[in-house]
Amino acid sequence: MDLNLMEPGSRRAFLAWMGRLGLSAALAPVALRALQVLGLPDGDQVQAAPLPLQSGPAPARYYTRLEGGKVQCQLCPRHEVLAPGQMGFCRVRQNLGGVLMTHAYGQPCVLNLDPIGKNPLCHFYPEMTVLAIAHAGCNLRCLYCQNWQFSQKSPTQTKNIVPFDFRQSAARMQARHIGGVSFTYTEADCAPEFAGDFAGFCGQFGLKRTLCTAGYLGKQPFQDLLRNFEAVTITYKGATDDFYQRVVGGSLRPVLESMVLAKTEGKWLEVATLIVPTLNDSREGLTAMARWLRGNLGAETPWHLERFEPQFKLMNLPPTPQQTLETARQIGLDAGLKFVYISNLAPHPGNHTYCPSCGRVLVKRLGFKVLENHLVQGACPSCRTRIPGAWA
Amino acid sequence: MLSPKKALIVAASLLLFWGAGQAWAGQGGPSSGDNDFQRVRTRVAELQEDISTINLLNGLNLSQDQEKQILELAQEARQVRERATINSASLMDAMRHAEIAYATLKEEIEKGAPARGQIPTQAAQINHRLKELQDQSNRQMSMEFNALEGKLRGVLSPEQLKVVEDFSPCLIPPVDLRSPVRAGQAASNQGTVNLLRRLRAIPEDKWQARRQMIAQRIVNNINENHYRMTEAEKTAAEAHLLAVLDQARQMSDMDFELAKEKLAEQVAPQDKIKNMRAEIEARLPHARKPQMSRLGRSLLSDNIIPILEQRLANTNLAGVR
Repeated sequence: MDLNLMEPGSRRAFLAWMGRLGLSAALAPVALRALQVLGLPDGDQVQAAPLPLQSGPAPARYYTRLEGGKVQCQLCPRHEVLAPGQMGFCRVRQNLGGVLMTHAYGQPCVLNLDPIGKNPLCHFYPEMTVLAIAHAGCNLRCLYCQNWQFSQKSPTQTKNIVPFDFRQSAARMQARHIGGVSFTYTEADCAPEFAGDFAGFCGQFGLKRTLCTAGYLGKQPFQDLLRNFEAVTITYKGATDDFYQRVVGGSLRPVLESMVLAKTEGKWLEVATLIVPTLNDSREGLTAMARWLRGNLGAETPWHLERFEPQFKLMNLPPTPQQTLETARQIGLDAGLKFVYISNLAPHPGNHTYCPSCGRVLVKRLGFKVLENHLVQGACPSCRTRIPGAWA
Repeated sequence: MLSPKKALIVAASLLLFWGAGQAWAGQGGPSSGDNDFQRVRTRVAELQEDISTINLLNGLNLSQDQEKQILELAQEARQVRERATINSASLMDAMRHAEIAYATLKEEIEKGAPARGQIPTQAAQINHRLKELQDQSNRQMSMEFNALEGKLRGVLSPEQLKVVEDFSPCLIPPVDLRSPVRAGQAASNQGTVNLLRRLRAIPEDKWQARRQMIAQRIVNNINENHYRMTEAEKTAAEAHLLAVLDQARQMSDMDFELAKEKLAEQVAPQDKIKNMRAEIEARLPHARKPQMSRLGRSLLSDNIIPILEQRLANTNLAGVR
């Protein structure tokens, strides 16, 4: 499909382009009216109705209808008001004739078999392989996004793996001895309808369900979403609201609230921070983050310090130096956190899990691969200290 | 005084004549051109080796302490090499004798008949003596290198040793975000996965018309660039490849995504030569040359010394702000 709609090259192409545009504009109201006639329900009333073979936009949840066909999305802290036809900031949700629709339902553009450590999750069935799944779209604009090729696009612009059949997918995962499903790479938060439904469906087959998210979501939607997941990685991107506004395109408070919520909901939570040279690598900022984690989530919450590789709009910055990550790890340990990992830099002693009591290496890793696992029933074999997490 | 314009003309003329003179002088000295070529060629090779070493060091994520210890071991290895050169006076003496004896033997057999009598006997004796001395010197060097390699193994973690073992030298290691272990050429099959995606997109009629040709092209590529095959091996590889490609095309999107890595493994050329080299290395403990293992060659070479010195001097430049 030619997506270069905005740049008609010649006069002839321009006229053809205008013709198509006019035709689309003329047919759009008819199509939208047809959708309404078919009786698509109000967002508030939409129930979890799996649409596994859905090939077009599906009804979204979490919005209110406003006058003039407008809708207000209640999913993330932006609370965007969308006029008819308008696409949300996330490029996933769109107001189609006064109904908020999601373009991501059953429209994954990435399916990979990944080690769970890539999530990153180090204390949740560490040797498990998961089906990593992602659809296009994101409600943030991180300048360093490592998955910008699809996070900064709409599901309508990517080649999606369709039809995506829930039952067939779960059966294939079981047949291949894949331990679970992980929504990662992009923001599954932007399509909680799909992420929640599919994760819930997988749960019926005894598959584990994990989520990696920036946590930039409203309280109620996140609480609902969490019900379908067992473990969560939340990216705590920087210490200040200013950093979130300048580099991430969001705000800090909702993220902090999401982390606390995940903990209080009893989900296994790990936190990840990508350390970008000159942007969030100050001693002061890292210390503040470590102290916040220690004080609000507890000393046993694993913290992953990830190495930045030049990507997207920050190609001018160097990769995070090894020593920066090592110093940051020490800051985390000094703040009282018991499990601080260095990620995306391997081999490194900071990849391993150590017993916080006796210092013994418990889980030895090379990158995301577990080389040795010495835990005995979730405890250190030397001093019997219980290591938090889900191990077997 | 010259006017500025004239001064400019004079200066330009001087430059022109000087340049012409340089060119003329250059023509008259072909040997200097040769020397220049040799110098540049040596420098390019040195730089390639340095880049490869730095790539490996970057991928190992060594601690400062490890860097110091490796530097010390590399310096010891250099001393071993130097000692071997200095102590080779007896070897040099034997080689001079061999030079004379072999030249005489060559002259003799050039007459058209096998040599008989004193000349070949003497050449054989000197040949034997030379080998004996070489073996003796190599054994001594190998022993010392082995000891250093043993110490080096103690310095590195098992994971770092694995990275050295798998390291394939290259100029620019590709960034593979799927794996944080980054040293040398990518081990990922992403290129092959992309190829499979393209093949899956070919319409059925075109695929049927071209599948044989595509399979042949892939097999020829493997044959020319990776692993020379006999005709029988080529035929078998082609049949296997066609079966895998057909299977990849018939899969649903979902099935393909789940199986893509395994399929790519079956299509990508296996590095059989690397395996063979490793086997030869393992089975040749009595090699005439004082061979170091891959580990020693990678981290105890002379060129690593200035690189590590530089890294240690720069260590304090990084950290948190």
